[in-house]
Amino acid sequence: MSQIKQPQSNKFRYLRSSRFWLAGPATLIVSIFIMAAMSLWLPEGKASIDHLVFPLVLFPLIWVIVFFYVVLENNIKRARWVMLALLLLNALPVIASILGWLK
Amino acid sequence: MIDVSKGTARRLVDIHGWSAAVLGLALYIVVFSGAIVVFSHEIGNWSVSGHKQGEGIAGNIDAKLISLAEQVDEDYLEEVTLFQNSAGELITFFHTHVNNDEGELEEKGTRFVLDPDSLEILSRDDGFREDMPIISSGFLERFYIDLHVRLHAPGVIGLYLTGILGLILFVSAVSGFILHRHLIKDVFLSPRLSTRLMNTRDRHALAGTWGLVFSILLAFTGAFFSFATTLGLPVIAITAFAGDQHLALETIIGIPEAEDDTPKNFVGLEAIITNSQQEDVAGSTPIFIAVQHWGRADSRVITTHGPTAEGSMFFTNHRYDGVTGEYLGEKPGLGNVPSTGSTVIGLIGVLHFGWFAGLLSRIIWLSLGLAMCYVTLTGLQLWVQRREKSDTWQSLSRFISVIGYGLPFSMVTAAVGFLFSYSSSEYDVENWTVTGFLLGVVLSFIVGFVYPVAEQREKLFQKITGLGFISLPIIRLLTSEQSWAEYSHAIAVMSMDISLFITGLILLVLSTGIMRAKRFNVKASVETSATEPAFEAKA
Repeated sequence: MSQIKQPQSNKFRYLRSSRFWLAGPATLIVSIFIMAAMSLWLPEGKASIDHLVFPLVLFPLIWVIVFFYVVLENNIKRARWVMLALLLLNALPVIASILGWLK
Repeated sequence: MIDVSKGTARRLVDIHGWSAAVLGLALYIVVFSGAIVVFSHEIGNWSVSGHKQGEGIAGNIDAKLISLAEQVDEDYLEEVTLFQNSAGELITFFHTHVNNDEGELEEKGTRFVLDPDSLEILSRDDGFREDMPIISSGFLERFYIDLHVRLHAPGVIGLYLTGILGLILFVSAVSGFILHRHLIKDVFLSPRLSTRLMNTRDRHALAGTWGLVFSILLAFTGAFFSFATTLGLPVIAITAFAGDQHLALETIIGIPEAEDDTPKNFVGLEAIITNSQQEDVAGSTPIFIAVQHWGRADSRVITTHGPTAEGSMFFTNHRYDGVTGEYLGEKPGLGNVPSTGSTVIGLIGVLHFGWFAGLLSRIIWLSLGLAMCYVTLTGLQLWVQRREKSDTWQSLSRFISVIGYGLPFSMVTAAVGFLFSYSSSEYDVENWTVTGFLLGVVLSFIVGFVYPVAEQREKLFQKITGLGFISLPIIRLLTSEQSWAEYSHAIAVMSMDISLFITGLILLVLSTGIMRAKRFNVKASVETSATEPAFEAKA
């Protein structure tokens, strides 16, 4: 009985893997927060637009870097902590800015 | 090869394979249509058998524009745009910016399409820009561009789809690069004939190696274009502009000067266009003109110029006073003064569209784009060949040729629909182009399901697609009411005719099977398969 069930459970084994959730939704959320936070700390440049333009340009690259970090990191526990740190580091200034605390 | 552990390599192979298996065919549609629309302007020009006669934007247009300005709602003088499409027709849009029913800021106004010679009004439409009917003369070009940009999906959904596909291409290219074992050596790889599997694998690696940098570059820039306004701008607006997207966009484009609504006569465009054509200004005729606040003291005219062979590889913008006609200097693409951000955005456009070295770079971009299509299709073939015993994957394998050949075939039938309808009734152009495309899709699926043997199916696809390509110059010639000799001045039309004819001939030659590889050595296949690394065999 268990032999029959084995292939079916293999098909969806990724759904039970924390790496799958880290590389999927978590990577997307962290990338979006990194992009948003960049607009707060990047220099504005001569035209006062660099801090707005560069996050937009770099978003695909940020997503790919975070995605491959999660995939290539052998120590999944470390990957979890790094992702959490990245999330907090970037989400806090973004939330503070939205709430108007940075003015 | 980058050293990775066995478990990591297996994860990478799973990502590389499954992402392509699930979204590879959609990615192929975006990449193939993207490679073709590198020549969108030429396609648009060819589809209407060359430019209409007339000076167009560089002619005497002031009197006509002033008379049009008197015919429209006063609010629509907030911004007036003018450009000439691939068919040569002048399109001018008098508009303002108001919220639509969904509460989104949109352009609303009156659009005129003018004959470039007589300046006679060919059509007039009022309302929101998104609701306006298509301009039939540029529809084939628009249809192909929309296929690439948004897969014809409505609104932002299409941009999200192509953005995700851009990221998938990025991931496939990077994972392929990490897994690759002989990066330099494989540039000169000669595909093995030992087995069909090895042959497909080598062809996939060879084309993938040549197109690696290109695919990363195109995936990155393409994903930027898809996500910049749909995801990035709203996020930046929420973070730094309290959710005001309009203010965020205005800041990026360049904060307008202080307003002065004192009525003043508009200076006209002819003198401004002549000035912009001078070598020390732009040195070319503008391809797009925007007039802000027509008939007011704070009126400004921005002329946009395309890359020139001897000048800049970037698009350039020049600013003029709309009351005196005085030249106010070059305006950066973004912001009011030159900046790194504006230069980077310009560079992304140049790299994505292949404008950096004129025609040569666009030919290279087309070739590398087609090479990427080949990588996608051989990758999918590899995937199903490695699953020979799975009935599901074998039955799905026919979709590779149905989409692989079906897409170019359907684009050809769309062009046939366009050519016939444009010559007989311009109002039916949209319907017949779309119908032509859908007929091509249906025919492709019929061929795919009637012919279960891959070799037979592919030969038939090559034949009908080849004949389709050859028929296009003939149909264009028959429907344009002019002889081929009369197009000697229209280089784009002649070049397109010849290219389509040669492409058709190549496909017909391929369909005879004389270019096919010899039968694969079954004995050697067993030996070679045994030497393949475990993670590759499992992919």
